[in-house]
Amino acid sequence: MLPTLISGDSVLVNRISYWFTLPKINDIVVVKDPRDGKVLIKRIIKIVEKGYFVQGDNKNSSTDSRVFGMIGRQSIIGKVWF
Amino acid sequence: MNIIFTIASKLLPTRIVYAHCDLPCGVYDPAQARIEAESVMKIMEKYSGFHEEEQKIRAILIKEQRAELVKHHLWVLWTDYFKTEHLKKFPNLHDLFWRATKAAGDTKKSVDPAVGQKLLDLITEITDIFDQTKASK
Repeated sequence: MLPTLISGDSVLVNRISYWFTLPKINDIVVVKDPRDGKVLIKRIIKIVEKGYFVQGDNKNSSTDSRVFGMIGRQSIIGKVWF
Repeated sequence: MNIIFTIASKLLPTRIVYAHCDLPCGVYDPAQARIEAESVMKIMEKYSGFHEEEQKIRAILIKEQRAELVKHHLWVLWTDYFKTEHLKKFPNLHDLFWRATKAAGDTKKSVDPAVGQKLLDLITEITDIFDQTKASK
């Protein structure tokens, strides 16, 4: 997630934020990798009917929706507050 | 901010999350595959001049290892560096990598420099595309 976050950074994640509002484009979210359940931190780039397209800020090196496809709402664990 | 995090980390459950990058450094270069392929080629060129059995066995063993490294480096580029947007711009990318890794496999079965040259030519094609993707950033 460079340059926004660097390895070792701490973030506070709101797990109930999306109980009341819908995820928005540009939100930084903690999601489950649909392939193996690994917990990842990504940014929502696009929202379509099929789901959420998430991408890392370090585009050249990030493995994200460009690799594993759209993720469903149930794969979003929470929103990064700061 | 640090105080807030220190307090929050004591009170709230914490866990590690991943940005899930392929390489933290983001460094990719087809030169890695090329160097190994050039080793394969050199062994092929020199092989006919080897007369001792031990020398021949060693050459074949090293050629086998280097060819495997070529495949590895090509696969890293193919699956980690190149992205969907590159494929849209270079629709022959999958076929090119398919042929290049096949050619790397062929060099294990042969000591004919023409087979090694075919691999090098395909790596050159990949390098050209790689350079274009870098130039367009």
